[in-house]
Amino acid sequence: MNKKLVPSFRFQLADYRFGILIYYTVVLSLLALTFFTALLHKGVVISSGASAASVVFLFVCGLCAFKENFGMSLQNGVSRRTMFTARLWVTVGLSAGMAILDEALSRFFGFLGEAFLKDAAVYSTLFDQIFQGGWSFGEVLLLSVTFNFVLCLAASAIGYFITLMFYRLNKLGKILVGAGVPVFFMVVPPVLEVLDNAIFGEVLQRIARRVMGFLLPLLFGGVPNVIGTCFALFLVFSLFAWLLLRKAVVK
Amino acid sequence: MSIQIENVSKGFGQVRALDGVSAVLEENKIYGLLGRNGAGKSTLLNIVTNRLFADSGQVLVDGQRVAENDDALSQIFLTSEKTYYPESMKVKDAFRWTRNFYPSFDEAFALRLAGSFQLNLNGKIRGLSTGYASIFKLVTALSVNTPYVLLDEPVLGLDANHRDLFYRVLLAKYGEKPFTVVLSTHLIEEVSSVLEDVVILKNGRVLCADSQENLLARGYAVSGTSSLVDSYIAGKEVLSVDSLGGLRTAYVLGKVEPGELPQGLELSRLNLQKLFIQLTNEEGEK
Amino acid sequence: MELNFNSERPIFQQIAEGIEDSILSGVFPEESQIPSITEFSVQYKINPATALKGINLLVDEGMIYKKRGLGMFVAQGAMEALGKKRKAGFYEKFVASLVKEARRLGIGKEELDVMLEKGFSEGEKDKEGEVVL
Repeated sequence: MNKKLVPSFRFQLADYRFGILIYYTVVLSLLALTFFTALLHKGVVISSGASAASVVFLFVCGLCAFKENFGMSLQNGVSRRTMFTARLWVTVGLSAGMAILDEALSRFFGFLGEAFLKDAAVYSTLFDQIFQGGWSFGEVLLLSVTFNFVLCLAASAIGYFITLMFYRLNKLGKILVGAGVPVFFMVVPPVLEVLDNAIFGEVLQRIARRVMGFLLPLLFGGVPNVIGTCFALFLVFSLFAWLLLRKAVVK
Repeated sequence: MSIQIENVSKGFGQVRALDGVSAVLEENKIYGLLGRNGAGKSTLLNIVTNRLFADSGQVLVDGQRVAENDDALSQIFLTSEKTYYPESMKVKDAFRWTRNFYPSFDEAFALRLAGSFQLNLNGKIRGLSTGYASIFKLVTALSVNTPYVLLDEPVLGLDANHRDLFYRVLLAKYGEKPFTVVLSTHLIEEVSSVLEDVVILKNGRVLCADSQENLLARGYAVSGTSSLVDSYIAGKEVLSVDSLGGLRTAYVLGKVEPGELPQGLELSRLNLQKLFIQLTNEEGEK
Repeated sequence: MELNFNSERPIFQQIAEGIEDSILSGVFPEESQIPSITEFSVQYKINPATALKGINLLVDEGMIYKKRGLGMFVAQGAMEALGKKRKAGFYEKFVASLVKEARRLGIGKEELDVMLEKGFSEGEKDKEGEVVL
């Protein structure tokens, strides 16, 4: 096995240590606070658990995870390939760890809620909030953890891709992408709509509806679809990130 | 065992930073990589360590291609002018991590050496002054124990005492267990006595690569009255001529035959600095 | 010993001459160990190959010998041999250049003789001074 892989994995993981510590201190405090507030006021409190926040957290971490690791890797004779492999392992490990931990936290506080709050305050996970269905507890647990896991993977990969893209782009490119993407989404759809109504006789809208009608159920129609979609996002953005990283150089 | 640089070229936009550079860095020798600002020294070292990619050509370390090759890369350590350690990393943590990446890194030695240089172990690397940033990098490089250690502008910002200490530690370390050292610098006078071999880059090309001894034997300087010097150097390959009043000094390539030198002319050896300046001067600077 | 890096003479020669001086003045007595290549290299901040080359000049001349694994030692009889060698080079090194410079300054033979006389007598005084001290 490659002798730089383990050090690189450890280094990139250590980068998260401080952030994770802070993050879970905050999450635990908030969960405890919500619980005690609910206990005192006998109110119904809905908490989405930590899972949604974890997805955002990992996305932001993905955004911050590149530049310093890259410099440190090149300084210490770690190839881009090894750095990226280690990064994938870190992403998978962290996502799995946080998915399991978040599930455990949600269930634990959910259990506390049921035990102590007569109104059965709902400490539901993200999964519980989105999907209702007749699953057994075991199935829910497995699906929920998997769901959190792939969401984390995708968020992490997208964050990493974005930061790599900005690293590789020159100044002009950064401005174009930074300003262009929001402007594109703000300007193009309304313009298309106007054009569509005026000129194409709503052909575009019909096509769009067809495509969406086909795609939406396929991508998000059920739990397995969503899990598959997230995992695919993770793979695609990781691939893009690698294509950007393999030719990246020091600055 | 060697680093082989084979016909490496690299451009940045319109600028041709390296143009067909070939050189061999043999094991257990101390090299000087010399060149003026912008000659391509740092670019070459960055390509040798996989920080940049060559447009064409390749670099082999002990026969293995270095690009994206962890095994080859683990044989080399480069410190550059720029600092690539994370923003908030402390000196002592950097030592610990370096040991993780290079198991041959001698942490105890690094800590002792840091003490000799009065380097603050709890200081953040990015917060160090230019001089202490150089010291941090030197201490790391002298403790890492890889077969090839490349130092890009190693004594930047160091005071005379620290420079002295650096050269001594380097030579003591080298005497104990030789390794390949490449000192890339433009402070030639100070470093020349330490160098065994020299590679001179000019405008992205290798101007010469040889042992310092051979290099210095390539030429000589003669001085005397203008008329004597002028008649002596006629028909010889002259690098350049300095004049001060009636005194003229000519830097000549070639060997002096015994008895060939006319009365009234003084012969002197070139030193590396003189030779370097003569070889790398551009037209307008002569 | 001091090395002069700007000198016309190569450093390895200066190393060899420095060690010769030390042998002649008794700093390194016969059969005593001289510093290692690394020690010379570190002390004078020179490449070990340069130090080795200088010392090898003396090894070739039989002034220094190497004991495997132990180090380098001043040979028996090195002092006498060095004395002879230096005497042989005395004319080339000192007398010839003395006369050359004297000619350049227009100092004649008689004037030079007087100076030599003076030099010898002041040298005697210095010697007496040393004894008193």
